[in-house]
Amino acid sequence: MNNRPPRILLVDDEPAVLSALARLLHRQLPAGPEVETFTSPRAALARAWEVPFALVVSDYRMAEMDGIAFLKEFAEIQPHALRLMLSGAADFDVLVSAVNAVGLHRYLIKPWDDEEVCSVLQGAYAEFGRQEADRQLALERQRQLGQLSPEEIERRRLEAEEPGITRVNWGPDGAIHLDD
Amino acid sequence: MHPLLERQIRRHLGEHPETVLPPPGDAAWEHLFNAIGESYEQLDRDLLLREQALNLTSEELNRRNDDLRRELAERTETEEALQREKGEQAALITRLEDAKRQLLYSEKMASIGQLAAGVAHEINNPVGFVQSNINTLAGYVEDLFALTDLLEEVAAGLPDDSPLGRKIRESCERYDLEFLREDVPKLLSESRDGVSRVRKIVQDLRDFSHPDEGKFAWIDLNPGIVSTLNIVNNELKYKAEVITELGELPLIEANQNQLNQVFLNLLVNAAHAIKDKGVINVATRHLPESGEVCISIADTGAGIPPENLKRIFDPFFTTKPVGKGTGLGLSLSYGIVQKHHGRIEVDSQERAGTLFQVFLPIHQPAAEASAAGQQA
Repeated sequence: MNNRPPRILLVDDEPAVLSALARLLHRQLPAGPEVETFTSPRAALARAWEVPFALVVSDYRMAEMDGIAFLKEFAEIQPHALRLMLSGAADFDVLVSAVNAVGLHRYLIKPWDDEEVCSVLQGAYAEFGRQEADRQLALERQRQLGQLSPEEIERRRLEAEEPGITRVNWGPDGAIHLDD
Repeated sequence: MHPLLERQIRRHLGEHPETVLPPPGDAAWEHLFNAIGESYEQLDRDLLLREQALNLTSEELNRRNDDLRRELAERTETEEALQREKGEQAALITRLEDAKRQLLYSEKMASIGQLAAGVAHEINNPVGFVQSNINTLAGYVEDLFALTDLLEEVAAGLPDDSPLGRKIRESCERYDLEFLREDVPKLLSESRDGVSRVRKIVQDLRDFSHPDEGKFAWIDLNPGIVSTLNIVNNELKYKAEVITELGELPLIEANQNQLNQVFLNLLVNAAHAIKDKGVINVATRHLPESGEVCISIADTGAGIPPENLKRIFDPFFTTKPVGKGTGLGLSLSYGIVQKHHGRIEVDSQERAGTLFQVFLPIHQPAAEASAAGQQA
């Protein structure tokens, strides 16, 4: 079983932004969670099927798809990961739709303040930990009360480890679609 | 003798009355006197008739006079109505011109706003990672210097004839470690300053062009002037020394972005008026007695010739070479200041410089005031 703590996902189509953020987190939070970076939102979504993330931080304006569309799709794959946006477009409309459409946890603006980014990400990571613990507790409680079958518990464990593994993607012709 | 009398005498007394006169009591005399009496009576009647005719004429004339007077009054009234209408038309034309100005202004602002938002986003990305990288680099460098400290310590602990110790000391000298230790923090802090300046300019550009036109709020003018100065600094700094004397101002009810546009236009004009090198003086002051604030922008430039002074606020009037000025700057500014119920005063002397003063009331009349209240 994969017991590694969930990671942080950074998505921005500007590679230098990603490496600056990764450097910052590596240096400021050396014992912190593992960080994965993607310049392509599509590739990040594909990765989201493979490993669980605690936080996902996305840019808004990206060539492939905008940050809101990306976070929306991401939330369908990993609904529990907290969603953050780091954007230079401090546009009120963007902010409103980000909060309303994808349940944004925090909005950070570019150019960012290093300390602020670190403390926000740390805080969000801790928040994810608390929420995760609550969910485990609820699961345990349901199990004790006999509300969940052993199969369901196993299904959720697998789902947590490999997001989407328990969902089958049926094609219109009855075929099963495999991502890989 | 009256020919009529002569004729009567001849008829009644004969052809030669001086020779043979009829005797007194003769009927001829009686006829003569009757004829003369009749003539007098006829005369009296004529006089009376004439008098009556004159009276009639005079009455008629009076009536005509009255008519004329009435007609004149009517004409004056019509003329007054025409004048009034003309005034109304002039006011309408002014309002149309204002509307046109506002339209041009808002179109221009909208495009600047779009441009600024796009540019800001593009610039904020590199500024973001450069700024962050400089911080990280500062940390890395600190670590590296801790290492070189350790190296020097190790070298100091080695015996004098140790080849390793000599090698370390030589390398430290060759790379001028002393200088690096001094210069690297300076280099980093200068770079940090540079990035934060870029950041500030982008912020100013964004503040300046934020598309919330028409909204009045309670604002402090001084920061707006400072941020406008930052924006035009490029255009000013090679031409002029800018002296600012910003007095303490009360908050005024105004639209920040529109006023920034006014300051920008006045500052750019001041810079353009200076040929080689000059001084631009920017001052703000509070005028408590009139409930106004005054922003003055004075340059030591070429000045405006008197024949142009009347036209500087006309749309499309410009003395700048083709492509350098649209001739809209001052008319837009004028429109904006007018919308704020303020005024612009110009004082210019050729070859000495120009002084623009913008007077703005602290309070706007009721309509705008409620808008500001809703916004607050």
